[in-house]
Amino acid sequence: MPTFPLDILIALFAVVAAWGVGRGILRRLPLGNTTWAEQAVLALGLGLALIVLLMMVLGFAGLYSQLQAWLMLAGLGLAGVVSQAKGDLAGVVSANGADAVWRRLRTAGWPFLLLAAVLLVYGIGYLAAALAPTLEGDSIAGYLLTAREYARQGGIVSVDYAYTNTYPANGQMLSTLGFLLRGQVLAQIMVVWVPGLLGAATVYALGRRWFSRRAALFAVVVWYGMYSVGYLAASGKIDLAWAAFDLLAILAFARWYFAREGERSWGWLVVAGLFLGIAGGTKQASLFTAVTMAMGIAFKLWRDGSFRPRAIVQSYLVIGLPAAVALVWVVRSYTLSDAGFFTGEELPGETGITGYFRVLWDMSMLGNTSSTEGPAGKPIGPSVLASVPLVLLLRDVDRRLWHILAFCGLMSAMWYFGVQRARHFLPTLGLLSLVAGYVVMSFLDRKPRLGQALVTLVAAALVLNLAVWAYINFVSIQRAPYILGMQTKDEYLAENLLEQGWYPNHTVTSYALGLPQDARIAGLSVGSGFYLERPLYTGWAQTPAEVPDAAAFYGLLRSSGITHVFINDFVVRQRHYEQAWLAQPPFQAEYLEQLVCDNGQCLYAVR
Amino acid sequence: MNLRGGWVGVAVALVWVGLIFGAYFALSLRHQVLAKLSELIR
Repeated sequence: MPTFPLDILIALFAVVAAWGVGRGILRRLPLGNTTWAEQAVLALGLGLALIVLLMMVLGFAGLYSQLQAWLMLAGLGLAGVVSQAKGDLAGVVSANGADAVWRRLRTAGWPFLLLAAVLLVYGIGYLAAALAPTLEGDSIAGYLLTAREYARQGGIVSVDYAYTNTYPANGQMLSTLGFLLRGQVLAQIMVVWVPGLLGAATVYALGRRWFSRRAALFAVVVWYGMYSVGYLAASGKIDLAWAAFDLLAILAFARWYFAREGERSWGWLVVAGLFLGIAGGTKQASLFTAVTMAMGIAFKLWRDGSFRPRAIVQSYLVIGLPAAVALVWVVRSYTLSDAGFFTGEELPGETGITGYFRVLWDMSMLGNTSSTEGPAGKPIGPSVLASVPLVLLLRDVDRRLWHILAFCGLMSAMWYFGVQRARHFLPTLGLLSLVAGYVVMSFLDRKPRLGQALVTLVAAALVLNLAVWAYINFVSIQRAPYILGMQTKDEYLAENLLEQGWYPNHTVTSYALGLPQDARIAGLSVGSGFYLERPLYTGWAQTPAEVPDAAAFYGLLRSSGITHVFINDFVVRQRHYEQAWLAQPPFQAEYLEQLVCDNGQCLYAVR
Repeated sequence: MNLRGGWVGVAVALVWVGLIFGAYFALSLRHQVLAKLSELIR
């Protein structure tokens, strides 16, 4: 029997509860008029932000349990119902009514129906991918590992064998909730699929507010259909949650920034600051957004002639105070590692002026990290690169477009000197997709044939991308039998871990389940120990050049509490660990006892 | 004509869009073919 309907139902309940309570908060904020799209994304965003904050407090207090998670959700649901009872729910329902949607679909031209159909297929595909345990490397080496341990150990603890241990963990607050309520699949839905949809809806709300419904739809499809987004959709990583909160911060900030002088509500800066705080506590790349917003505030105050100390301090305090909630994770990181920030300086990247253009080109084609991150890299597709520069050919361009492009330019400059990966750039890519949408819609109005050709090419690229993504996630990895209830999790892992040479295979993970609960396994590198169910400590690749004596290295293992060793020949070959003590047969013969060996992967007990 | 450069603008747009999408589809095809070939050789 498939079990996913229950996961989807619980996720839906969490979303409705979050939306309800978020709507109650939204109504109390002095924000002025909002479109229904803005209301919907802001309400859900505020509700999810509240869940993240509650989970953070409860986690640091060590109060996680299944009962706590259900009580919290029930409490939020109740608060949402009470808040709706006082408000105008009828207005919301009618504004989102099926009639309006059908009317719009009937009057939309074929290019938009095509894009809407592609979007629907992507949404269903991403949901299906989240319904089976992920085999994505970073998720099972870090992001999901920490979330599962928080849930198991009843609070936010140090998971020192997860490489994400010291990273900010607002994203994991959502996956931890999923683990507490039910398990891994719900955790994946909560941290990936729900925020992915929220991010896409926020791009729509931005486009709907500043451009047009059609430009917004185009932007959403382009953003949601990027391979980079698809890759994350099949993972348990936190990047889509980060992108959603960061985009919400941008949405709120844009309402303040583009408002006329005198009509600017400080409430928007508070909301922007709150979302920035949640995003910054999910992924520190939000620092770039914060810096760009700070420049935007200074520019706006200068243009209005109110660049005075009092106004400056007030504006920065209003946005900065709620954003400071992200500092909680910086402090935790310092206490665990003496380093508060992740810089990514050890990651390979382009340099120089030409490198900037090369990275944009590569990222738009087959991915700028195809050598280090898999055969297809994680590209964003050609649509943004093909459409955005055409803005230079348009007359009478909306002036806001230049401000948005300036924002994107500043963000891209900082991103280029940080981690040059598309997933660190997703909110800006959402804005660039909007610019692309504006340009393509302008062409559809002014040069219909050219506009239609552009829409067709974009749709073709999206369909091709979908085919590649679906092949990787549903053919190379056989998810369907598990989703449909024809396989147990054990059978699913037995079949699919065989194909993943980097990770402990099923024979090893099954054997590890029988090891004592306090077993500590040493490995050379590449953790990915989620399915081992026992701590896998990497970094044990010392060679005789570093530790000259075998007995001394053995002593090091013992004094570190290591009880077992995992050796993967594939990793030894790929990473050239032949000289490491652990990979040397004489050392293994003398100090280790082989427990199980299969397909070039062996688990040993330390003698 | 409300594009900059009139028909020249249209031509520039066509060339740019053709270049980007042409490169993308060509590279994707090449990647798929190479992947298939390496699979066959193995």
